[in-house]
Amino acid sequence: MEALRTKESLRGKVAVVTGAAGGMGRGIAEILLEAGMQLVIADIDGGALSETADELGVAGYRVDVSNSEEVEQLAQHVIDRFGAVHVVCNNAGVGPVGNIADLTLADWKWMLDINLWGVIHGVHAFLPLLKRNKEGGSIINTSSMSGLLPGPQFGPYTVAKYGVVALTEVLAQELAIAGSPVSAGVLLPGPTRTAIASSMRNRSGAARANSGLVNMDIADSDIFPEGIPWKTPREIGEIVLEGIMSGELYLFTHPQLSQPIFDRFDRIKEASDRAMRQTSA
Amino acid sequence: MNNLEGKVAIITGASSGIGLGIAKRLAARKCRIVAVGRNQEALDEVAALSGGLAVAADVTDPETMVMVGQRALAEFGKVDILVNNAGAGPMARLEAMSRDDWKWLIDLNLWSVIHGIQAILPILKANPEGGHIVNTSSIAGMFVGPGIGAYSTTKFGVVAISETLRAELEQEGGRIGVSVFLPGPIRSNIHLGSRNRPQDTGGALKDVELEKAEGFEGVQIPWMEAEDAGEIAVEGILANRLYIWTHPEGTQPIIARLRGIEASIAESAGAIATLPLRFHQQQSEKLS
Repeated sequence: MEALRTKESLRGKVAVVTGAAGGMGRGIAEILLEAGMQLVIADIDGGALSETADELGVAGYRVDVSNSEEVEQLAQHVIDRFGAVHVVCNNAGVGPVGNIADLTLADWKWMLDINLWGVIHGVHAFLPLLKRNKEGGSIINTSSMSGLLPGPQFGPYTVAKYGVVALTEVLAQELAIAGSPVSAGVLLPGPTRTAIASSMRNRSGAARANSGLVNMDIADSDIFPEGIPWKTPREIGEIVLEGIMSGELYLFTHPQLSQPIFDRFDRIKEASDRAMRQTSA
Repeated sequence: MNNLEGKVAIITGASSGIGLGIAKRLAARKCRIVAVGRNQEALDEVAALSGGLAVAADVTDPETMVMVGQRALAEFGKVDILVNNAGAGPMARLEAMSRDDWKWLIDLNLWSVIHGIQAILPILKANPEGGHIVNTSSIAGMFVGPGIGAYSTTKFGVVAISETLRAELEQEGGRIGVSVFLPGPIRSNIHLGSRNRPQDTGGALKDVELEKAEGFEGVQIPWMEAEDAGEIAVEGILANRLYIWTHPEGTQPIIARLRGIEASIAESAGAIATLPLRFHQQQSEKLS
């Protein structure tokens, strides 16, 4: 069964994108919509969600992805309304930064609940529904280049995003072994023009007051001394659309920024080689 | 850190397996062990080896490591080494897992490490001689296989927190080293890892004996004794290594995964190069 491999095959099919009131999620939603799919968007920010849903002319549901019941309800809404779902983009996430030494347990919980549990909830709510389709479907989980690369101050972010990479790799393997027409991909974006720099807006004032996390705007950082190769959310959406059709596991948006990832891999290989020499010595 | 004599080391999951192995090898170098785990009798033995302390407690409780730190300070006046080792390794296909399965394993394998760092890092920072943190991940912290989705998710996370913490502490002068321990098959009780799960919540996660696991039929497993793994961990602390491997001859699946990612990056560079054209086309279509 060739599943959802062409634009024709996607036309009229149903896609769900979380974190889609703005930013990358909205970019993905716009591109999938223009590809002829029926869209359901979800977000925790009810106001921005209804604006975006109106502008795009699609259904919007207010969902906190860290709450498993709300994600289950979202899945039920989609089935009630459209009868099926074919593409799920578990995209909602937050990206403030802080040194591990300064973080509270509440900081860790907030970040892991959204960035890791949000994906787990999405996979469990939607995978059984995708498997009902004879033409299969696609799960795209949003990780980050930080899913392969650590950096100071990105502790809880990288912990969650490494986890999303692991989860998606295993899911892809298990689906392949089962011969399922459902595919799984992990989106690994670099700098994209989104509202991630105001991630803390969705946290309560009391939680913010004691937090070791602060919003970070890449534009004000020195991470990219030679200028930031911004991508737009729509460009990310194009890459996701390609990924849905290709069934690729890894969806990179900024391959030109991958040298630090290669460097990390080299350090891992060197450490293994050195241990090998010690063992044989 | 080059002399371990008189150092104080907190080790979680010290009742058995790798934790016990590390405890024995540190004790052999005259470290005092603060042994944290679930089996009081076993912990008492470890503590007795080293003139240390036994604390039977649950590391998934955020209060536990705070209490352990206080007791270590009260008894010894300092902490030098933290080994966040407690964990379990049951298997299930992702699709079959319940939310309780996820929560139990994430609490035990990932939150235990976060709690340990949160509670003990300030104590290490107050130590004028610096200190060292070892977090036990697994070779499954760097590659995946079917059935180990939840385990790998937690163990990838432990790699991430170790790499990040090391980078942050290096920025502060590197007085505290951080290692991530990446053991392969070690003779331990990991195949009994669910014995301390609070109650049977009907989940899909099941303990497995590697010999009997899917895909391991007829495979000669290169078992290592826990005390040998402990010796390797201790050597890694002394050398302040970021990555500590027990089975470097078994890292081909990891290297293959890394090469696969590199190849995927190279391919996507080619594919993406063709995308901007379309964006421009769309832009001009909209304008016209």
